[in-house]
Order: sequence, then structure tokens, then C-alpha cells
Amino acid sequence: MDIPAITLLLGSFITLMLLKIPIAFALGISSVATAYYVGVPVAMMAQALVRGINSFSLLSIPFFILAGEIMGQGGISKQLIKFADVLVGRVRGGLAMVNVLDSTFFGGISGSAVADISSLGSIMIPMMREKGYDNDYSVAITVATSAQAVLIPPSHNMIIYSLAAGGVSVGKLFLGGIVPGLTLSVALLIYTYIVAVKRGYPAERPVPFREALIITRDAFLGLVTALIIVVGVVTGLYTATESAAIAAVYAFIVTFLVYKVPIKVFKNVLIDSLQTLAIVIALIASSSAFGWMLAYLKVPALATEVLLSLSSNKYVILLIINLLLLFLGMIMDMAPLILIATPILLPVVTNVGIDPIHFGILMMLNLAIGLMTPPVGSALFVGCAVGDISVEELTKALIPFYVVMIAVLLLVTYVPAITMFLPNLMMGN
Amino acid sequence: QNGSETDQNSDKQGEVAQEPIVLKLAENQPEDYPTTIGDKEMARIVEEKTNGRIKIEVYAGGQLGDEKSVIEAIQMGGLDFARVNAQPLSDFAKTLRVLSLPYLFENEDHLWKVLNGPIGEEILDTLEESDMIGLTYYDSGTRNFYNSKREVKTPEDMKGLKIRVQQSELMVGLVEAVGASATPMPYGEVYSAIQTGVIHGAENNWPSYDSSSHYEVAKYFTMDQHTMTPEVVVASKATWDKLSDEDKAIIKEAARASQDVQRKAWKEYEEKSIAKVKANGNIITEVEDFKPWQDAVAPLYEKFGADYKDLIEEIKAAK
Amino acid sequence: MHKLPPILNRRQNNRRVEDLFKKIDEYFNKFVEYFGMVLLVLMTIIVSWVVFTRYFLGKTPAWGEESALLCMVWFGFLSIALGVRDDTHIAIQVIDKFLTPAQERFLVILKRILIFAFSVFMIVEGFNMSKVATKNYMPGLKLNSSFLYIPVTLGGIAMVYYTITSFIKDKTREETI
Ligand code: NA
Ligand code: NA
Repeated sequence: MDIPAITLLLGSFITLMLLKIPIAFALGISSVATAYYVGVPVAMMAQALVRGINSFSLLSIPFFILAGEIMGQGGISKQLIKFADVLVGRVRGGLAMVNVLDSTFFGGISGSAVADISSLGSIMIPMMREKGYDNDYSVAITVATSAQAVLIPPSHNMIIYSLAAGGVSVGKLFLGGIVPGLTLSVALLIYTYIVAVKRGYPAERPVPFREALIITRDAFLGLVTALIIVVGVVTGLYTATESAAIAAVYAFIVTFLVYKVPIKVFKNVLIDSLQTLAIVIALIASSSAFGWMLAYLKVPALATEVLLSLSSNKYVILLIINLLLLFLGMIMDMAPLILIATPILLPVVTNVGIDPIHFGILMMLNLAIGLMTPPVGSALFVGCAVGDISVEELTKALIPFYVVMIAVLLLVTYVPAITMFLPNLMMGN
Repeated sequence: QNGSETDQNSDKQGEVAQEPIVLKLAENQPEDYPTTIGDKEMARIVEEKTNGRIKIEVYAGGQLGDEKSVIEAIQMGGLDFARVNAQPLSDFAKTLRVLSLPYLFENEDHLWKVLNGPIGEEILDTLEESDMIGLTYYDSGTRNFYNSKREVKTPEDMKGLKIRVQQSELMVGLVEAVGASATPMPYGEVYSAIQTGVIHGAENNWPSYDSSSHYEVAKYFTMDQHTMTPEVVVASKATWDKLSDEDKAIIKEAARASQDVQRKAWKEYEEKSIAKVKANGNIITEVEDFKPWQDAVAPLYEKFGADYKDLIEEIKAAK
Repeated sequence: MHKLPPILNRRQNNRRVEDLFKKIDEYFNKFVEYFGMVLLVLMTIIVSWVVFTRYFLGKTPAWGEESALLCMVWFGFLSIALGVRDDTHIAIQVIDKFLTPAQERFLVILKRILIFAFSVFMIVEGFNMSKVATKNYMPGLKLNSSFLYIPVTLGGIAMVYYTITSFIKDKTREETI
């Protein structure tokens, strides 16, 4: 174990970050410095930057951000806001509940937390702001609900886990994620209701029926965007990633060809999309270099070794593993962490009688929380970029959500039936 | 640090308590996969034969990057060893493409006779032009078609099926030659894509059909054995040039010896996968007549094998 | 016509240099922005085209995924440079309340120097990687893999440009005040 190198990597990163160096550059510079120190050709860090971006799982992000900008600047979003009023305007905190439910459905389809935030966030956040929700709360709930994308099938990350675990059934994992995902939804719905009552979030007059019909008609073309994504993916017309591009093209057609919004608005749309993407892409690229150094220095293995030497009790081990994954999830991105941590931890947990499916779902939930915690969390970063809010503000607003999610995590950890019930019922033991 | 340690080693050869040379091997398959077992066996032998002077650390699960990044890292000396498939490797060293030509090898005995003979050695030697040292081949089984629609016995039955392939001209050519529609797509998307019907199937070896869970969504498996593209263990030329001739010989021998362990592990893994897939009730079709398949792909030999006619003839003659 | 006093002449020259600088700056910005915008649109068209051909023509181009990703890598590195220009990259501000204005200014300079250094790393090592990758190619596009790494260098160059101009712009702002 190369302790000086690990200290250099983590120490320089944290120092630079505290000195207000943008996080992307703090990650990049500390990785390059450490590579130089341990004698790895630094060109490999340039390679890692490219590998971070040149990844299929990211491909949907630009499309979703683009579609969101088109809908926002072109007016589709405004119609959707009115439509949401028709549906949930009378309910206290109704829009926040829509934010929970949209991820339960769409997040499921997109399969990626970051895609979920960039697609729904770019519509929902402005919508909530307009309706008088606090900005930080609006972004925080959008980020928190993106965990659904990881838990509710299909989920890219479950497929990565299945491969890393040596071929655990993807079908069972998909089924296993459903009840924990719904449990999380219910927990978040309850929480949003409490917040809405406490903060006095709006409950509006019911919309008269005739007006409701007109609003629905006007919002129809916008609502079709959602339909296009869901129907296209479910019927096998295209994959979830491809649906993002189709959604962008559709939003373009509706906005600029049907509604005849002046095409010069499109230039603004593109510039604003690039600016949002700049932030996300810089962080993803440099997290990839940082993650490579962490793997190279065997940090996950070291952390595991230290923590697992503490106890052999099943329940304590589960707790330790949760803490470990939360910690690693805070500094590393999800996919590489699954690849590294699964082979180390799976034998440990199967040894104390935990089903690989149950463990897989635990890992998903854990790492989904890690995705939205500082200092390294792509969901957090995308939330900041899409919601135009600082890391500190967002993190602070997320704290109660962390509490809710950790409560669900503990429930899922210690009540295996929540996970195992459906897969065992549908696919046998 | 491995580079400087290697230097130190040659400088201070007489010293008693030497720091071991630590070399890194990248493996993109999971921890208990046959290739990883092979890597670890190689590491074990090397450590034993050098009395712990050379240690090889195996990084499994693709944690140091995908196969192509790892190959680039090998080329610049950022990693010391890697186990990669001959298919992506052939984007770096074209001669290896020959090994991926469909229906080239009659059976597995033919394959191993070629790989472990002078032809295989000659092909490994071509890697040096790309700053790599080819050490040995590992087993990757045979690749076969599977789909969610119907039983496939002849190329006729492939018509209209959308089959996922790797992004490779040769594989696209193969699928189209046998009459199906080739659909390049990232591996991680395939399960959902078969499930929703975006595509109808894919092609792979038995263990991957199992470990990817594709057998859950595509239940028709046809043992057409179109390719037997092997795995290759490579070393970085930069690392290699720093080693003494004696150490080079030890490593080369260890790699060759680890092949036996890897192939045995592969067979066991394959049998386990076959048993699992059969227990799931999948429909497994043996090909009785390979002739129509071979005839269908004949044009590919013109297109992709033109520069290697002699080599192909040699391989065919080496039965 | 009488000669201008020397002091005015110099001022005019200065203005000419300033105008030239402004023109260059404008073109440079336009180039980076339009390049990024075109690639973003192109990428959307490519993925839609893949869906179209697979569904309606029963044939999928082998280059689809690779070229879409290549577009993303290219506009990715260029947009990172735009983020440097606009100073939009996310940083945390926890120590703000403990900082004097002088320290604050120092940290801005430190940030620019470090970003400059990282840009130099990107220029040099992006170039080195593209040299390594000349021996490799992208099988779908049948294009040399160097094209994946050139944008690292280009992004680095744009970032060097933007860190230097941000110093100059600060300076001129101070002078005008
Ligand atoms: Na949401
Ligand atoms: Na995190």
C-alpha cells in the first residue's frame, strides 16, 4: 500500500478544493501530481479524461439537457406548468410530489441518475421555482429522486453489478429493485408533504373544468415528449439512450416548426446547453482520472481491509459495508466503484448468508446516495449545473434527504424480504 | 514506480534485501473468471520462480480501463501486462485479425495446434511493432448466435433477425453474410434491448451468454461456432526491455504454463454455464452441416483476408 | 492638417491595438462556440439517424455510436474551455467568510495559474496520447484513434488563451477604474 501517494492524492485534492480551485481542476491536478509522483506516465491521465467522456452511458446527457433547454426557452415548459396545476395544484406541495413520481416512472426508463436530473430537472426545477418553491429545495428534491433511476429497472448500473458479480441474474436484480424503489418513493412523498405543510407551499384554487380542458389541449404536444420516450422504449423502437436524442428532435420540431418560435432562439438554446454541459463534462472527465488513480493505488481494497477487520457479526458487517460504500461513494463515481468493490465485498457478504441480489440492491442504493454527496458526485454536480446553484447550498438542502434515504437504506439492509420478495415470487429461488 | 524499481534492480544486483519489482497486470473480466485465474497463475509462477523478486499484481474487473485504453497504456509503459481479446488487439496489430475470420478453425484441437505452434508464435511476434510483447494465448471458447425469436439451424433462419455485434467491420460483415441485420450496440445495452425488442439477439461464447444474463431474454442458442478468437496476454515493450534475459524467460514460460490452468478453468466455467442455461429451459441447437455457413462467409475471406492469403493457407493446412 | 501631439498619437495606437485584440477575441469566441454548437447538433442527428436506419432500413451504420461519442469528446473539451472563460466551473466557497479581499485576490490568481498549468498538461499530454494512438484506430469509423485525443490539446490551447485574456481583461479593468 502506497500510503504517501494516497495521502498526496486525497490531501492535495481536498486542499485545492478548499482553496476555491474549481472541483474539476482540483481533481485533475491532484491526479496528475500523484501520477507523476508514483511514476505513471502522466499521458495516462489525459487518456483517463477522454475515457471519462467517451462513454456510452453519458451519451443521453447532452440530449436531455438540449431537450430541456428547448422546452424551457420555447414555451413547452410553461404549458406543462399549467397542466401540472390542473393535476396537483390543489394538493399542498403537489409539484414536489410530481417531482418524486416523475422519477419513479421516467427515472426507471432512463436508467441513469444523471440522465434523470438532466431530463426532468431542466423542466421541473424552473417549474417549481415559478410556483414559489425555494430554489435549493427544488434542486435538492430533483437530485434526491434521481436515485429511483438506479433502483427501478432498467438500470445500467445493475447490469454492471451483475457482470462484476460474475453473472448474477439481471432479471432478478431488476425485479429486486422495484420494491426498494417504491419504498423510497413513499418515504420521499411523506417527507415532501411534511415540508410543504411546514413551509406553507402553495395549494391553489381548483382549475375550472373548461379551463382545464383548454390547458390540457395546449399542453398536449408537450406531454407527447414524455409519451415518445416511454412508448418508444417499451415497444422496442429505440433504446433509452436513443430516446433522449429523439426527445430533443421532437422538442425542436414542436417548438420551431409547429409553434414557430424564431429560430434565433435555437442559438441561445445551444449556447446555454453547452454551458451547462461544460460543468458536467469537466467534472466527469476529471473524476475519471481521479478514480483511475484511486483504483491504481488500491484505495477501495485498503479501506475494505481496515473496516472488515473490525467485526465478524453479520449485522455489524452489513453496517460497516454500508458505511464503507457511502464513504467510497463520496469520493468515487458509481460505475468504476461497482467494478472494484463488488469482487472485494461479495465474498464477504455471501459468507454471512446474504443473497447477491440483496447485496446488489444495497449497493445500488448506497452508491446512489454517494452520487449526490460532495466532494465527488455526478448527480450533485449535474444538479448544481442544471439548477444553477452552489455545491454548498445544494448539499445543505440535501441533508434531510440524506436522512430519509439512509433510513430507507437501513430498512432495505435489515429486511431482506423488501428486496427478495418479488424476484423469489416471479423467478423462483 | 515500477519503472524506476526495475532500473534499481539492474543497478544494484548484488544487494541482499531487494525491494521486489512490482508489475501491474490489467484484466477486464471479474475476479473469478477463467482468464483472471490464468493471470493469477502466471503471477504465482513468476513470484515462485524469482523467489519473490518479481511480483505481478492483477487488477481484475476492468478497473484500470476498458481493453482499448489498457492496450494504449501498455504501449506507453503505463501498465506492464494485460490480458486482452485478440479482437480489439487487432485494431492495433492487423495480423491478429486473421484469428477472427469466421469458420477458420475446424475444431478446438486445430485452434490450439495453430496457436501453440510456430504460426501462433509468429503472430505474437508481430505485436512488437506496436510496442507490445505477446506472451501467450488463453481460451475464449467459441462464439455462437443467440436470439429471442426462433430456432436457427441454417443461415436461412437468420433472415430478418437484428443481431448485436461489436463495433467491428469483420463482425458486421459476418452477420450480414449469414443473412441477418448487424446492429452495433454497446454491451451494457444489449440485455434491455433484447428484452424490449430493439434487437433480437447477439453472439457470444457460453460463459458470456450466461454471465450477461442474456440467456434470460434470448432463449434460442445456435452452436454455429463462428469464431474462436482467443485471448492474448501481452507485456509492455517498455517494461520488457528493462528486464534481464533470465527474467524474460521466466515470465514467458510462466505465461505459457498458466495457459493450461486457464484452459482447464475455462472448460469448467463453460460446462457450468451450459448446465445453467439448459436448466433454464433454453433451446440449444447444434449445427449439423457447417457448409452453408462457410459458403455464406466466403466473400469475407476475399475482403479481409486478401493481405494474409499465405497465413490463412498455412493455418488451414495445420490441422 | 496639423500633426497630432505625440501623446494623442500613442493613445490612438493603443486603441488600434485594443480594437485588434477585441476583434481577435470576438473571432476566437465565435469559433469555439460555433464549433461546439455544430457538434452538439450533429451528435443529435447521428443518433436519430441510427434509430431511423435500424428501424426503417433494417441496417445499422457501424460508425453511429463511435461518431456520436467523438462529437461529445470534441465539444466536451471545447465547452470546458468556455467554462473557464465564463468562470462557471463549480468551486466550493466554504472559506469565503474567513478571507480578506487581498487573500481573495490571491486565490483568484492562484486559480488561474493552476488552471493555466493544467491546460499546459492538456496540451502536451493530449498531444502525446494522440501520438500513441496513431497506431490504433476506431473500428466503426475507420478513423485513426488520435482524433479522440486531439481535442484535449485543443481544449488546452483554448484554456491557455482564456486564462491569459482573463488576466489582461482584469488589468484593463483596473486601469479604466
Ligand atoms: Na424527479
Ligand atoms: Na459522492
